[in-house]
Amino acid sequence: MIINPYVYKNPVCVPTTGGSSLIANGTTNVFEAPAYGLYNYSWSSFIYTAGLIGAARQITGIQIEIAGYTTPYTFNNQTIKLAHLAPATTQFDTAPAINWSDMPVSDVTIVKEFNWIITANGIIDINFDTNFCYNGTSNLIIGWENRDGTWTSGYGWAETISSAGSGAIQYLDANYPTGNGIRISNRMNLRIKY
Amino acid sequence: MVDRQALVEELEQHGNVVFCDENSELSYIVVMSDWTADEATFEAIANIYIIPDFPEMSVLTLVDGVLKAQFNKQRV
Repeated sequence: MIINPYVYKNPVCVPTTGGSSLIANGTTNVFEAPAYGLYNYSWSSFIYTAGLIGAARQITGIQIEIAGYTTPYTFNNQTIKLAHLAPATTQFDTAPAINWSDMPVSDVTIVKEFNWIITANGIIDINFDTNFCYNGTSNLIIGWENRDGTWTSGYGWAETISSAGSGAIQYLDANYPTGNGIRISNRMNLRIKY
Repeated sequence: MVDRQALVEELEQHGNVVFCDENSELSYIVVMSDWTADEATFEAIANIYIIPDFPEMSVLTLVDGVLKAQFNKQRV
């Protein structure tokens, strides 16, 4: 039994509008993120520390940076989740659980369920259907579930920056992966929209 | 440049070629069904035909006869 010792106070979501600067501007290609087009199903997850995210606020969307896609390229049945992560946890385990059961997370929120149609490479806007109230002190963990069920060539990659243990991936053809993923030392270039 | 025709002829001796081509400017992928050999056999073929142009094999899986592999090169 895993006991989550992480308790935090209710956040105050500042009703500001705008966006962060791009969190990381790396140029390392990670084909497995956010979704891996070579396999029918995939999962990726990334940790962003509180210092990168900033003050408490309503997160209304994200921007990520992708390249290499033959457009248009479609990933059906995509789900993005956000959660608070205890401040002391800045890396994934060596065998990260796909369902985050090994992570001190709270407020796990499905912020977006959609068919992702990529019409251009570069900075991609993703506006959430459900905002995420970020508390300003926790780290932020993002999960991206690809349940397309088919694979197609012409897929590209996410631009990332090196960061020890801050990413996790998994991919499979038979079904959506369960159990553990693979820890990587990259996290996607990201901009928080608020 | 990958000699695709020669590569496909080699691969077809061990299974059915589902896809064998450039996936993007920086990646080359091979997808085989009914692969009857082992992974080492595939790697030996890849070393001859793919690795010279796409030197990094980032993925190789073989599940229920379906072999998938991706090879990458750095952006210039």
